[in-house]
Amino acid sequence: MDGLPHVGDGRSRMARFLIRRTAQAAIVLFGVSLVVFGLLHALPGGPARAVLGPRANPVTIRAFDRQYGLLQPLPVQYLAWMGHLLTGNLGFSYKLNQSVDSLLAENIPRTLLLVGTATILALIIGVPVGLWQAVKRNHVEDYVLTGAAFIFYSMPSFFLGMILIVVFAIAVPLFPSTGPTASTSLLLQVPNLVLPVTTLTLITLALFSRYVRSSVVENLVQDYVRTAASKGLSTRRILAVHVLRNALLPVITLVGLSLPGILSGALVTESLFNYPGMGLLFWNAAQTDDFPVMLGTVIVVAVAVVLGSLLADLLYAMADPRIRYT
Amino acid sequence: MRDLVGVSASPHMDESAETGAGSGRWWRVLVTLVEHKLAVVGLVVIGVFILFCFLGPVFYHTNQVTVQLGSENLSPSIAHPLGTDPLGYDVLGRLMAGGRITLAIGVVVALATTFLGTVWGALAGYMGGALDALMMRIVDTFLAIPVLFLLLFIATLVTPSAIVLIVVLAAISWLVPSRLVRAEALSLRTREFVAASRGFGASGPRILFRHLLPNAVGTIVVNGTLQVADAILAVAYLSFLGLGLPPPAATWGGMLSNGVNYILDGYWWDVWPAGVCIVLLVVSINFLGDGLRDALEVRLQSR
Repeated sequence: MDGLPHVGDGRSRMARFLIRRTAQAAIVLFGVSLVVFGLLHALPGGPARAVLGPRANPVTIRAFDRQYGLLQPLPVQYLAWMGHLLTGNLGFSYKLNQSVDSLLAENIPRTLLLVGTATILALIIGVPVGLWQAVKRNHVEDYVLTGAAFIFYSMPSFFLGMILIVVFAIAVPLFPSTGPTASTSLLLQVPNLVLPVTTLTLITLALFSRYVRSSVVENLVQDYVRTAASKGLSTRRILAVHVLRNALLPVITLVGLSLPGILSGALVTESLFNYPGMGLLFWNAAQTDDFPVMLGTVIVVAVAVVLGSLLADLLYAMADPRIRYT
Repeated sequence: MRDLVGVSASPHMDESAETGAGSGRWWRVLVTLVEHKLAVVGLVVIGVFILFCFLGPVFYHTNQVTVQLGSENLSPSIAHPLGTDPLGYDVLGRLMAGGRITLAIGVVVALATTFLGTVWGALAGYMGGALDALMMRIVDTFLAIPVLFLLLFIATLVTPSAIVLIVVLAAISWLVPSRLVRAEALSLRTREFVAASRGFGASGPRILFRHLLPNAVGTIVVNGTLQVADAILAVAYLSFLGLGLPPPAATWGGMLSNGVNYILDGYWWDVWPAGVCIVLLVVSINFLGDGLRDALEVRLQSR
């Protein structure tokens, strides 16, 4: 097209991939909005019950339905609801007498702190551990670490958190057994952060190290490793320069793919430690049937997952020129 | 250096292992599986659990139906080797009863999930085009909502029973296998043997059931095995989220999540036996799945 066929070709293929992948994400977000809208109407009594609570009488519900246009056809209602969403209005919690927006704005940063710290720690520890396991594969060290990873992976996270509480808060009282309180900055309550962050880190770590191990093992049998070895490169150099780069690229995708799992883990961790984040907000909303908060949280979480995996795919496409554009 | 390179070019790389579906192939699979030490350990542990849960009650009779107030939270003794729980049920006997339901839910969910995921994925991968895109966007949509958020939401809408648990778990777990099977079908449908049978005039369904699915069986079996483990964990999470089975029914997950409330009172027998059983069983199933993956030569799959 621009006289440099193969450069232009690569670029336009890349551009096509970016556009296609972004369009997919947009379709998925549309799907998520349909699911949440469906959930809203799947509630017995519909949105009126969600707002007015389970004890609202039929007359009130009827009045509410009329006032908020809930007697209109569903597509019309959907468009109106979408309009609110797109202007950033997620509804109002009558239980907490606060807008869902402001509740989420208060709680999301605390969840980001928990999830971000745990993910970064899991990467910092998991990548070297997985690499070491791959080098020592089928030796005692690998078996021990693989076994440990399997155990953490197979343990319900609330059980793991409870064990950490029993060991590090009761038997050896090093850290408090509850998370930080919302009244002061979390950064001033570091001891209270230790156990929740550790719980989430351990679950995520098990996943990451297992993945890195397999990825490195797969790369070690590739021809380029054999070539490098026959050129006389040292093991360390092969690992550091060749294998690591190839094996770590997929980790970008892994982090994106793990996001739903990490957020689920945060839900359990927050409710176990009473950590004042989005997960605890959602948990408490579920106990009190506070549907506006639940639906708003589901939307935010799903948007985060979709954008996270989109970002991971785009970064990966930019980092690895060999990517197949499918 | 030899340590780093030359190994793990797998010992079973002959052609027939890939294409043949005869009894010879399954014999080779079995041999490879038996060589996988962790898989054998896993298989033995699973066998012991099955015996414990289904034959145990024949030798060890307990009342797992009526609540026995006055004998709740007794510490382990000769009459109750693992003590009693907050409702007065004997914990050892309850592990057997709970294990039966746990295993049954796990297996039924895994079968339903595998069936749904296989049909959906094979259809999408085989048809391709717009239908494939639509079907996969549906999968993506449900995968975008983190499982526990979806489960906790559902927990507020339904009342728990074994059937409800199975339906809910199957409804959310078929997504991952459908993706795996689709990927498999996509790569298989361009292969020569599919083109050949199409050339011989084979119908779409015939190609799907006689050629694509048998060749994807490794992926399906491995994922199905791992689904049992995931379902057992999911039952534990559901109990923790308030969608556990009400007594007298018991699951290990329910025992564990109830017991966690009593851990600060020192009633360790309410927590540890169920917790250890879950972890042991789930780890064993994962070991078995790993062994099967090697034996069936399934490439790395994301879970």
